[in-house]
Amino acid sequence: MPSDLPGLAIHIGADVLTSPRHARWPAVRSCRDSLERTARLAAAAGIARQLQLLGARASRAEVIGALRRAAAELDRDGHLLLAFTGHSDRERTDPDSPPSIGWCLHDGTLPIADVAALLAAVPPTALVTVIADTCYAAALSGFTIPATVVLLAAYGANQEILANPATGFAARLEQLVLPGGQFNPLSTSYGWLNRQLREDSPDVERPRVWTNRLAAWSWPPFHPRPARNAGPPWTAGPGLSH
Amino acid sequence: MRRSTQARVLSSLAVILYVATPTTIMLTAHETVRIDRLTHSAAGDVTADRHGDLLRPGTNTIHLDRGTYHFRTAGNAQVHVTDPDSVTMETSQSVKCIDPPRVMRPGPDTVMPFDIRGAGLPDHIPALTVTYGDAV
Repeated sequence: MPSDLPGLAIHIGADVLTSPRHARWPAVRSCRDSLERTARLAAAAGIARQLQLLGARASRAEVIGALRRAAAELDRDGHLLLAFTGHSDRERTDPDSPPSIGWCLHDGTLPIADVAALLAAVPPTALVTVIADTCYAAALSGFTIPATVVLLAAYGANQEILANPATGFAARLEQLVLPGGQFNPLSTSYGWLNRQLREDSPDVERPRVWTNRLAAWSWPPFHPRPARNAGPPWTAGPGLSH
Repeated sequence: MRRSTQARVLSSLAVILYVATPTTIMLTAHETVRIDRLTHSAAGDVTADRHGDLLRPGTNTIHLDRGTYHFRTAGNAQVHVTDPDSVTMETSQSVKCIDPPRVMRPGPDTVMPFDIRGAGLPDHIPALTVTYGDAV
């Protein structure tokens, strides 16, 4: 179903790392598969413009440039979907400060503080959906971004992924929201999705849905965003408490 | 754009159990735990499959056939082994560390059982207490 409003999706799969620190890390095998799944979710959300950055294209310059262009071009009521799958790094450079977390891209680390700053330039009336299939994924929730943000985090801000690729985060998302390519009638809200994701996971690896808008909990996951004041289902209720 | 200062402590204990003969262990943890069974192929690849249902917080009795198993916890855990000769254990701060334990990656070109997504030293390493014998 086409969306009433323009959208853009940026899918990043950092499967080839060349920086000296990251080059010897095991490659994330499921990058390409995960991005195909997030592309299908974006399409279901009515997003026709999709950019896939894999291999050498998943570089700092490409990602930063794509996010800058998205922030500049996105309609005020548009929908930006950002998916990242790959390694994250967590380093404590100052013993008196919290560790710094960043997404490991082809040629170096992009601190999530920079990701948040780039997303903060998106029009405040727009919607940003982030699928973070990486360690410490929920750390992005620690930043204030004016736009409505729905973060689908594979694991907590302090948790590391050790996933079987066959049951990876993107695969679970697609299975829950879009089984067989059709919207799951049970997937009626992000609150539901959050409960489903957490129900079958150990405490040491807890996926979570997070949003900076209470009402977003009641939105149907990955449904096309209707025009402003278009009525249900996006205007439904006061939202769930989480 | 403002960043919250909420503290987030990374804490991870990884335990690998090598079971020589079928046995029963009791695992006590204050959290939900998943046990995976690791299978080694002739080519040296390692795959992981969940062993049984998720273990709910508290004490759980688990039957283990001969093989290699793995679990992680965010907090302290206790394992009680009835037959000390049947099980040996290896712990690390995380099997996700770079490089992971040898059992997770026997050779440079072999497939690992899990997709690992990064690295970071934990702030706190939970303790594993192991007891042996009939009495718990």
